[in-house]
Amino acid sequence: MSSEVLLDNPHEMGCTGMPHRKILMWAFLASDCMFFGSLISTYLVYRGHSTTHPLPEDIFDIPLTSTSSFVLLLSSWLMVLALSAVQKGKLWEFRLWTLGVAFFGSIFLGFQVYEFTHFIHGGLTLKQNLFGSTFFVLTGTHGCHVAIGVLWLMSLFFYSFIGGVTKERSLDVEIAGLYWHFVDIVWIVIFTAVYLLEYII
Amino acid sequence: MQHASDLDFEHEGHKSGGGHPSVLFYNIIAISLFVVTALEVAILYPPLNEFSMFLKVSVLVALSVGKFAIVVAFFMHLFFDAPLLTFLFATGMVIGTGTVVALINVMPAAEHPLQPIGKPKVDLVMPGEHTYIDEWRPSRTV
Amino acid sequence: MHIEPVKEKGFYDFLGRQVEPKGLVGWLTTVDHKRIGILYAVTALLWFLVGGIEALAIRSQLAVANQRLYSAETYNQLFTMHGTTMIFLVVMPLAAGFFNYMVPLMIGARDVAFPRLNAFSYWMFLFGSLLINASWLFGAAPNGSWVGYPPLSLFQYSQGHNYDFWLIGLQILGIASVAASLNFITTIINMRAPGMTMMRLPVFVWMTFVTNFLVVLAFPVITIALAELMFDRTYATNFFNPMKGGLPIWWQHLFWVFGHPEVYILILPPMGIVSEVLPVFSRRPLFGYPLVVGSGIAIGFMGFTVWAHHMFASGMGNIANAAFALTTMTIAVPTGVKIINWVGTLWKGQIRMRAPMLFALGFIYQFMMGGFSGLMHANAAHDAQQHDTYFIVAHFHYVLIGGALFGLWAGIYYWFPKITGRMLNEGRGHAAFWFLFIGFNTTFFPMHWLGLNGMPRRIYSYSHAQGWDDLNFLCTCGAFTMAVAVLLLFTDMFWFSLKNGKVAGPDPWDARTLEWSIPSPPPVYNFDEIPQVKALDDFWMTKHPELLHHEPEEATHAAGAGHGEGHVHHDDHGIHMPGGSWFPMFASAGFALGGWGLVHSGGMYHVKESVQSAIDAATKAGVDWDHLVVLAKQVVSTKAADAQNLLSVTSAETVLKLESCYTGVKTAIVGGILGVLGIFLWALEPIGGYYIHKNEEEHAHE
Repeated sequence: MSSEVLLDNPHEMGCTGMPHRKILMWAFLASDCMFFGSLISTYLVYRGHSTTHPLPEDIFDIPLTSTSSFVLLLSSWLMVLALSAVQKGKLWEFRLWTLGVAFFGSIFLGFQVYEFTHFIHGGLTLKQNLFGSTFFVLTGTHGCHVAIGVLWLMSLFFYSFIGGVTKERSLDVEIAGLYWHFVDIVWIVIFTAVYLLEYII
Repeated sequence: MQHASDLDFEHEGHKSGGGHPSVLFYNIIAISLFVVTALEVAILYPPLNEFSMFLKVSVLVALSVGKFAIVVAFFMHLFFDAPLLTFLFATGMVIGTGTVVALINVMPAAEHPLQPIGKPKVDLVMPGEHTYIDEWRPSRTV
Repeated sequence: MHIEPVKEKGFYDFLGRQVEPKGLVGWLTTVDHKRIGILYAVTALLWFLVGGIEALAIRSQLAVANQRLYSAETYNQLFTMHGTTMIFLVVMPLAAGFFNYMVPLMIGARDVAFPRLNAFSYWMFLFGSLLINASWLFGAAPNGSWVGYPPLSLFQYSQGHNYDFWLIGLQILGIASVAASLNFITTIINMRAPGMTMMRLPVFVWMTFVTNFLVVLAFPVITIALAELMFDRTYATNFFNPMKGGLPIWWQHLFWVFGHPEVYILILPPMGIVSEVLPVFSRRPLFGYPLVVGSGIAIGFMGFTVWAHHMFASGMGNIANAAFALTTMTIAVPTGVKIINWVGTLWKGQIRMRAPMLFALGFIYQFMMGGFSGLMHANAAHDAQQHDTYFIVAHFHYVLIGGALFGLWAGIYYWFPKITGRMLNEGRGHAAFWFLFIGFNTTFFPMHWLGLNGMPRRIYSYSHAQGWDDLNFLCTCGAFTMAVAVLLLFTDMFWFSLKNGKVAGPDPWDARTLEWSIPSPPPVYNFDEIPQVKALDDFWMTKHPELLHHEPEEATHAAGAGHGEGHVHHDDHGIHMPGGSWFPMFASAGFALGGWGLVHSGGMYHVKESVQSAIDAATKAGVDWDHLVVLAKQVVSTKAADAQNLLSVTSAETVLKLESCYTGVKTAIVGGILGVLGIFLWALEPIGGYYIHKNEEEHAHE
């Protein structure tokens, strides 16, 4: 019975007792660790190598970035609540929390856009120096990941109105949640390694 | 067709992996994460000297690792799920962290790093030398 | 047997996904792992011919001193494309073809975990390979070797689109590989038949599994490296720009962090194939199965710790050199363990010298030779002499052709009967082997001497005074001998045996693994009943049940896999097969179009900078961008400066170049949107497909 599974079926179940997509998402997240690891190591390796200003300490605004970190953490919390809601079949609660995740994710993106604009006006562009190149590519890639996540969550939000999201298909939300939490933990690493460490080492 | 219970992954999760935390548990975790983040920012403010630098870095790294672990274990449910998933993620983390650490150590450090604007300009910074008159900053040639 | 389609509704019904797709549409929309495997293999073999012609061109040029068959520029393109083609367009996809076809069969599954993602991987591979080779049509094939080191690869020194084709092509190929590997990791973990524990998996499946992890963890690194290079070229960032503090050696590190696991990605699957072929043709089980599996895992893991042995001559310093020399020598240990186990398999076996066996034996000898020269490189002091010489060329061709290619050819001869239902001609197979073996060793063994005598890599010609003439001529003779072997294989595969080969039947080799328990070629649903696996080499145990009583693991306590039910459940609806889908191809086409746009936008900011003064002058004169472009076209065609004297001929050409960059950006955006649209439609696509019902009498015979 176990292997006579329907293919391409949202109700797929494998010989480990876990659905295929969960394994796929965790393997993908392992791969994404290497992806962000390369970007973070590029940033850290090039610390101190810039030949022109501005440097991080010239333009970083820790209170602003701390606020955006809080916002992202908040969205992660709401994601957990959204998954919990759909697993109990409470669709309206799911929609509320999912909208909240997407909303706060967008606020985070808004903070990023504001920060980038502020930095560019302060003279830091992609091509200004190594700090500009490495910083914008690292945080920009993270921002793209957030944007994809927001798109994904909004798709789920609208999909729930045409019956696409149900208690039985809560796996869809769980997978989106795994992605969103990963984006959050990458930000935890970036916030520490890029922003906070700058003031200590 | 398949039994109805096969369609219900949430229950399978209960059977195989163990419990689902309650909403209260999640809320407590979330608040703890906020507190930790506030701590991480606060740790920047006490004065920096040779001694506090090591302490600050250790505390910051520990807090970040802690936050990371809590989000992965509880928000991403890895603590309750099958060990296979932890293995998959750990493979990426171990090889990723190892590669990052190796790369940082094998690449040359900056010889004459630029100092931020507004601080006295110096041509050459020797290891351990101070570059600021008014406040202590470690030299970047570590 | 009759087909019962699943009823669809609306838009997706219009696309006709539900029934068994036939003809060309069938191939374009296929999600069947067997068809996708054939597509991969055939495409790879066609690129093999292209890469082989590039190799023959190289060897023709180098056959005698001072040849000028090709200019230096063309020669650079030839060796770059030869390397890139053979690695990314031949060895990897040919192995992928075998993964696709054989892994589900070997684990007792009906397909992979994500059939449409599987199709998507193939289409991305096809479009990526076409993109990178389209560069030939522009006279701008990648020309900076397959490793693309800056500063040469920065825009300042390479202003054509050569590197842009290379970058973007590799990115697309990378996405294909990562998607496929994620798919196979899930498949191997989650779709094994009941009783198929991890330690009962065929070694080929294990090696595939380890390879997939390597792909998934190594490709992101090169994705970032390529992205950083692309940003440097197109958006004037400073990642590798020494003028602004960037370090070209950073590229080398990132590239080889990927590049070294990549070579294990290339060799592990052929090692798996050899581990399948040797037991069958010596009629003995694989000697030390757990050690072979464990060594494969060790090689995979340690493969991430050795990358800087490609950089011993780049000035990293003694400590780094020593550390990486140590790790590199250590990685020889598990490889040696494997070789011992293979020899142990042959020991006292009833050797049958059929074509697959010949290639597998050739693999063992030649891979060992390549391993020896590799150990010589591992010593950083020796490598100081050997680096960038033909000694290295000899080493990697010994492991890549002598190892990987021979292993893959063994796979072709071994599995061709299963895939097509016909045997390849044994006599032609033996002839192909000897031509390849003699040709290959003639080509590459002399290169050890050439390298030690100082012949550098990547030179388009050499002077008579060097004294390299005779050996080079010998190498070229060997190369053309290899070409004969390729001809023999190809004509046999695609013409003679396909039409008139001996009919194979399900188990022509008296083999050991599950794929031989089903007809050749297999039915679309693979297995009538999903097998209940009782032991390692389960099919062999089924043929020789007396052996099963000696097995410590019995059927009753099948650990780990499946729900362990003794009976097989007959689904009332029959076997469900997924229908084809257009969206994998559609999404790939979108992303490929986006890639095309990105290629043409290469160098944008640098181009803009060089013509900025003309643009500023034009703006002051009240001429906007579109008018400036029109003006530029005029200037270029008339070859005279314009009336207002805004543009010289050179700056006009640059303006047009910039315009094509802008068009490239727009194309990239359109392509990206189409690709994302394809993914959305794919995500919303219902299951569809059809049910296959066996007739009552067929049931009775089971």
